[in-house]
Amino acid sequence: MLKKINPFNITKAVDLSTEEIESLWIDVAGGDADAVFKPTSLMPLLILGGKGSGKTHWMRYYSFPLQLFRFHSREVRPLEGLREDGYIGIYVLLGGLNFERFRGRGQSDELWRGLFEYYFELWLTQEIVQTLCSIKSADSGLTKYEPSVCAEIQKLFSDPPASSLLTFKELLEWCASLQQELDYDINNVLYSGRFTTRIRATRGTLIFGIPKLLSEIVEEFRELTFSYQLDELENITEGQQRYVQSLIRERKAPATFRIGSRLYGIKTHETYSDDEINREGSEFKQIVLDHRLRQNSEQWDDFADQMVLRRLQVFGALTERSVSIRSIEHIFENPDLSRDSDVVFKMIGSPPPGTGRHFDRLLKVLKEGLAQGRAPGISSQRDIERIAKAVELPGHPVLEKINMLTLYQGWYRNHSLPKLADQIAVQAADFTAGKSKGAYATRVQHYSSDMVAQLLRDEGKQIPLQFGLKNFIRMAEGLPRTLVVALRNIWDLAIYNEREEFIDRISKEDQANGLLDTAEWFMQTMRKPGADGTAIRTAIERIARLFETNRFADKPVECSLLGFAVLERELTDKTQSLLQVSEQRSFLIRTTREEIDRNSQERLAKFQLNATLAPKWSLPIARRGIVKFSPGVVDIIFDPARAGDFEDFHKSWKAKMTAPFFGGTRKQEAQTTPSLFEPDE
Amino acid sequence: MIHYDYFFRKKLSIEAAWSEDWDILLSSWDNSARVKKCYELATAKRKLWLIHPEYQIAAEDLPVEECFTIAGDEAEGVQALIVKLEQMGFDLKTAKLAVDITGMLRPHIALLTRFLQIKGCRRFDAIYAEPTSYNDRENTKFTSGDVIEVREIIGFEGHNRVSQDREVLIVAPGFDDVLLREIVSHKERAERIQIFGLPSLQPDMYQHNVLKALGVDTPLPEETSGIRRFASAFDPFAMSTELSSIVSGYRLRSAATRFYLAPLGTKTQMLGAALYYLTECQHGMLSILYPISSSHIPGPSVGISRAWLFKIDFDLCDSLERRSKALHDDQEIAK
Repeated sequence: MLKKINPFNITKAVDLSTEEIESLWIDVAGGDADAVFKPTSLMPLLILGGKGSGKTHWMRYYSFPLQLFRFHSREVRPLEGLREDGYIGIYVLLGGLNFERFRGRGQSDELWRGLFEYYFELWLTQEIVQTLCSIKSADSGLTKYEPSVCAEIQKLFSDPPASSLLTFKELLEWCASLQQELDYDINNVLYSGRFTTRIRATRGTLIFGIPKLLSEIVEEFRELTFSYQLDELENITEGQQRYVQSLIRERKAPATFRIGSRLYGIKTHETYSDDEINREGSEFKQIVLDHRLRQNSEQWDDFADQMVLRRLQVFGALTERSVSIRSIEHIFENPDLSRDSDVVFKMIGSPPPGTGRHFDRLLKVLKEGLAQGRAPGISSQRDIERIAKAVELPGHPVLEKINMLTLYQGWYRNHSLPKLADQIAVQAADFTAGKSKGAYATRVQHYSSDMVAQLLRDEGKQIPLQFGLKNFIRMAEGLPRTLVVALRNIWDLAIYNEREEFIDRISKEDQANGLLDTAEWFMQTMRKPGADGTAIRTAIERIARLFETNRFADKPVECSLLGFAVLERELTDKTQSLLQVSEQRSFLIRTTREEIDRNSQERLAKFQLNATLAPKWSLPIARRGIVKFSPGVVDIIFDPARAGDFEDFHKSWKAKMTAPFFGGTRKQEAQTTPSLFEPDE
Repeated sequence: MIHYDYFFRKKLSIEAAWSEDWDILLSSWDNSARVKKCYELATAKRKLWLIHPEYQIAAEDLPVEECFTIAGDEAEGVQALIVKLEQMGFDLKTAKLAVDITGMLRPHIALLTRFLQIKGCRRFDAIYAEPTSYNDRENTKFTSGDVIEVREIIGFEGHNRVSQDREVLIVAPGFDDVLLREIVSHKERAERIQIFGLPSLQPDMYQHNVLKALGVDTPLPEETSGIRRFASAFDPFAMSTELSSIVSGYRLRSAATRFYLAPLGTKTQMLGAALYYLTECQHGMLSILYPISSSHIPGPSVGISRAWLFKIDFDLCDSLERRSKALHDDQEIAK
């Protein structure tokens, strides 16, 4: 049982307190996060990941406020603790600095660059001096070094203050006044026409100079790595990133950088240092958080389980002291939708033998086929009734649907339907008698999920079919925040709908609605502003519509379709770029294994729709089906202006999977010439 | 906090010509009935239409009267306009100036107000005409292109501080929910306060406004206490007062709060935000944000229901600021 508290309300690490960051930390790297983050290493590290992949949590975990928190727990003095840790993390959230103001207003780019660099120096100086203030207030051992550190820092400025500053606080205030002077100048340059700010430090003077002098003056800092942890790099412009890249290239011990950015956030690796380009392995190392988790599903499952348990514990939602993840899983209602269960049969209203909407549909298309001369082997109404009877398996609607699917597949190939129906009846009988191998069994294994979805949709039940924690973890695709948001939405609904004091069951409706809300949230949150954002949103919706059409077709081209393959180099430059942005925004997941095209023998890139979106279009979440699209089709999908072309394709795509014509015209034979848009089966 | 009720406002007739003896009227052409009506009723020695290229109005639909194109961003556009006015022989310190803000783009409203203050103008009249309705009710779009970026309005950029411990986004949502989403996403870690226009321009517009603001991480009703505020939709001074109240309330709790204002609703809300900034927040930790769109839809409104005149008096701003400062100093001494 759980208390009616939502432990998933806080979804972003920036909103967590120092204590919460510490207590919610899960060591994802197999028990040794330090081996990944390498906080004492002087090699700069880029921590990349999709939105909500945990970058900020990583960077804050290794920042000084968290170190200080741990020193208290370890009962060590901060100076001693820092010496033991071997590093100090200076965390800076770049998004809060409004760096977009450094441009325009009739001033040259060169001037803005100089001002930005100075501003950045001042900002990081304030961050480090503020950290010194914190250390001093927690450990008086730093006081003896204060006058000399302050004096040496002032000497780094080309134009030091008029009277000497003796304390960190005074130094901090002076630096803040210099920065405000610059803020004021920027805000007024439009009217004044000129800057009055004097630039008192050049690139790196303070950023590298201060750590160096600290390590020389403060005994406990002698072996310390000063790690500037710059988060949200995506929020600064390309030119400004070039400056940060220059700092990475020109870094001087004992200073280094840990840079957090979204996948699309790195706009350049170029530097101002003789226009050199920073390269991975030589100037920096890189980790992509969500890729790591996606590539190791065991690690992701384990991480997610721990994260859920930890949240429940930390935010006080548990009624018992110790619970296992298995007992949490049991709280989620998880109906058995397998072919053996009678749940689906009951959900579709327990229809009498040979009835139900799936039979209505079969009879309708057979009659139409007969009328149009498009039903091989059928010459009368009696044949139709015989076929319907042959595919009947009372009480087993999923198997009946499998029978119908087999029939549609043979129909598409122009097989005689009465004969085929007889064969299907035999195969189904064998299967129900326990023969678990062969084509029929494979079909059951592959298509059951799609057939359940069809049965429920026919009954007007358009609910997602993903229930239970394991599925939610799978759907989050290695993005912890997506999982937290899904659970937050589900918990909100469960709390709202539960009348008792405690929650001992989360209904399938609450789960389904929570997932639908999460899919909407994902579409809104991950999108990109601007024209590209519109193109990507349109493309994702189009891809999802195609997959949805496939899932609910008479004869789907693929089972559990959630991905597509394409010869990427044949795409237009624009489509390639949009595809890349879709991937960076986590709408599409590039699957690691490429596919060889059977015709051209070329390697095809494979992409899968993010499973978080699946409920919005009633799609599956298993990564099974992949359809090959021609480059021309993918170009159409990614071009919002080609709505007409897309609708034509969608129409032909749907027709190809629909009985009785399967894409052919009334006069044509069932086997038709493949069209431009024909999906490769 | 400062009460801005001291500023003068009056309702203008929409039946007869106004007898205001202005030297010049500036009005942005958006092809709407209310803008045309105000231009017609205003009694000014000279009238100048301002053309915003963002409206993408065809040449044949532009007015035949004297025009000036405001090109570029708000800084380039307003700067060029000021030069134009000076070339036309107006001394901005003494000229009797009327600015119809009805069709003007929001960043330009803010920056023009600041530019006039810098140029020594002591007061000017702002005109705003309310529509009877909008073309597509709550689904009316005011921007047609894509949001290129969300940024601070030039000249309304506050100071940043290393010690800033929280960010607060005060947003006045309009019908265009795309703009709201862009703002929220840009400052997603900020606490959010919404100011709704109430009384609204028309009775149903408040409901529409609330409806369109739903869905962007909508808080539950019990969570809205203190984060849902109201200010008269037509009155810039009500907006200024509300902002002053919200910000001073936060400042009492924490001086290191960084504020962002995003007036996305009526044009008068933007004027009110600009006035508040110029009176209380120059050199403070507060900025005005706006989602910059590539194009805007000209004149999506229907008819004209009321017209207003607001006297923007910079001397009064100075007095109020001095008084507020004195009060603040007294309180500090008393502590």
